[in-house]
Amino acid sequence: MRILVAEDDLALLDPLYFVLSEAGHIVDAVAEGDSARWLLGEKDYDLLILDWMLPGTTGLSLCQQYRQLGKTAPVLMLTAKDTTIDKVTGLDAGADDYVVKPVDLIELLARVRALGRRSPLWVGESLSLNDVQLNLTTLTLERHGSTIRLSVREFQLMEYLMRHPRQVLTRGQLEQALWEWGTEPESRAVTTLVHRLRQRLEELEIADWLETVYGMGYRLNSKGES
Amino acid sequence: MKPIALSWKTLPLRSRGTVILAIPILCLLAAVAIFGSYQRSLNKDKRLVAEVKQIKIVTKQLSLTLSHAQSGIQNYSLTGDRQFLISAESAIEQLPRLTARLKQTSPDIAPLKVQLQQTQQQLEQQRSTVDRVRQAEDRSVLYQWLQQNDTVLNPTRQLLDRLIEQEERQLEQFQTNLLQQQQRGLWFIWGFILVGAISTIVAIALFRQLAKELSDRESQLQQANQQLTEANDRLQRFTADASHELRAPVAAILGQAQAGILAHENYPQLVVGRLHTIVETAKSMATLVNNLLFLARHEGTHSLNVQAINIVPLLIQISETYTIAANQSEIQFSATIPELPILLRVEPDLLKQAIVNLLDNALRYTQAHGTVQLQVSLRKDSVVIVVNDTGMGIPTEDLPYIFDRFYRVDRARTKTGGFGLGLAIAKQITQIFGGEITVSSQIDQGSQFQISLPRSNPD
Repeated sequence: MRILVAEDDLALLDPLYFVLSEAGHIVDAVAEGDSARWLLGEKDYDLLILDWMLPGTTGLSLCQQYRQLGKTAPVLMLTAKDTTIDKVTGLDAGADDYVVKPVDLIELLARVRALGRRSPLWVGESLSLNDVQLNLTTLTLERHGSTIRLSVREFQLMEYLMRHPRQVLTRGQLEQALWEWGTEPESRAVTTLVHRLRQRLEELEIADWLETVYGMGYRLNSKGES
Repeated sequence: MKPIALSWKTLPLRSRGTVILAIPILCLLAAVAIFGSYQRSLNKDKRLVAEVKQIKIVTKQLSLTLSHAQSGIQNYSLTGDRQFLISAESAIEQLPRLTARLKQTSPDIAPLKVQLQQTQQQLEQQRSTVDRVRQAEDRSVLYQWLQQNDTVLNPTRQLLDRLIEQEERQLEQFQTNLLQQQQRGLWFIWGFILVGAISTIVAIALFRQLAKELSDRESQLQQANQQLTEANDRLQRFTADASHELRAPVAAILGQAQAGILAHENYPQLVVGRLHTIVETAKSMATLVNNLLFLARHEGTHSLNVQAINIVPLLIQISETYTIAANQSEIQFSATIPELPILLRVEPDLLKQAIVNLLDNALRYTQAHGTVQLQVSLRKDSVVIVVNDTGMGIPTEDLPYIFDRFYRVDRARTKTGGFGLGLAIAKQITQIFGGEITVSSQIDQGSQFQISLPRSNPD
């Protein structure tokens, strides 16, 4: 999932970014309200994690603005405000979940998975293409009983390819989708990543599924029996 | 007038309300009683007038009847016409009935009645002798008889005339009385109207005063209520701020430690164990924060009534601690503490907390090679504890808010640590002991905080 995290306390933003990325998500992490507002207008997210108190604005008004744009991705409010009135206010502003700081990150990941399951994109704990399954929780790829564990980067690419099977995806599209906002991929980064993933796919004897379409980009295409 | 007004105002509301109601009711009752007795005496006078009138009428009738009887007999004796005799007889017959109608209201009535009875007998005697006298040959007998009869009846007639005259006078007097009485009644009514109006005005004035007092009390209550609401709002804001300030670092610690645990499965066991300890500690700290917030939200106001203690040893201990701390920051620290015992009614731990907070601030905002001073001096009624520093100072516009909870001057200062609670706590402690805290400061010159506490007499 692509997640926006807005939290002004860098000491908390950093671990949030880390654990969410480790779980296979592509995370845009920002520390102030204006960047968050700009990103909400620019990009599509599958989940928002907003701190209530942000420099420049509040998570609450961000949430309201986001809903006014007509967007439906789940919003999780992360805040130190713990009274019932605060919780009601937050949920009424359009938030789907409300977590009081200090939050146990293990619990937060569980909540993120729960919110992901409510997403219209949700197709189950794993994505399938022909006889290959990509497990979204364990970041593993399975075929004919053999399983390999992908790195976070490999998983993110594989997930994106499996969500767009048989489509030609340009390097630009892949960069947009897989690189976080503000990070500049090196010129051969996509090529390198595709090469690495192909090597991993070789372990399941499906390296030829990831085709290079010369002059255009890449395509995931199942081969074999089907 | 003033003591009455004062004691009136101190009376309970119920008594005052009763008095206000009693004034018109008592006036009404008094009016009814006085008017009733006046009516009674008026009726008595009217009755007297009526009696006198009746006596007058009856005596006049008696006088007339007597004349009828006598003239009837005389005319009969002279003319022999029986018609006269019949008229005289009926007049004689009427006499006792009229006599009976005379009431014994005057002392003159009883002799009159006796006289009338005699007169009747005399008339009956004349009636019985008239035929004999008339038939006598000698007319001189008749004339003599007639003359004799006249003299016999004269006293009665005179008595009647006198009585009539007397009753006439009495009637006149009674009627004058009655008129005066009625005049007085009119004055009574005017008097009642006046007294009633005055008492109504007094009652209304008292009632209005009472109503005003009640509305004053109500507005006082509303004011007090508003102050309580504001105090409660401030408390709510404080706990909301505290909630954020306390939870954010705990959240960061917890998050960092958990991220560390998740970062690599192949960290040495020792490191993972330590990270787990941090996670557990952070979680228990979160619980502590929750408890503290709970306490703050349910905080009541305190007033401490404690024994007076000598604060000098405490001050010496503080100055020793801060001499070391200042040395480490390369700040010059000096303390001026009187040698004589200083007795104050304070809780030593709280007083220490207040002074320590001021000294911590002074050290925090003073650069190396600066100076921090603790000066304690005795005044007539108070003890003054001053903390001086040569630090960065506080902008004038921030000074009014410097003792507010979680107030921090700017972000640059925020980096020097602290929650912005130290001065608020120092102020609250000072207030608990009935003292006050003040600040003066100049940018880049330094700040001076001054706690003054009331001195207590040794007892």
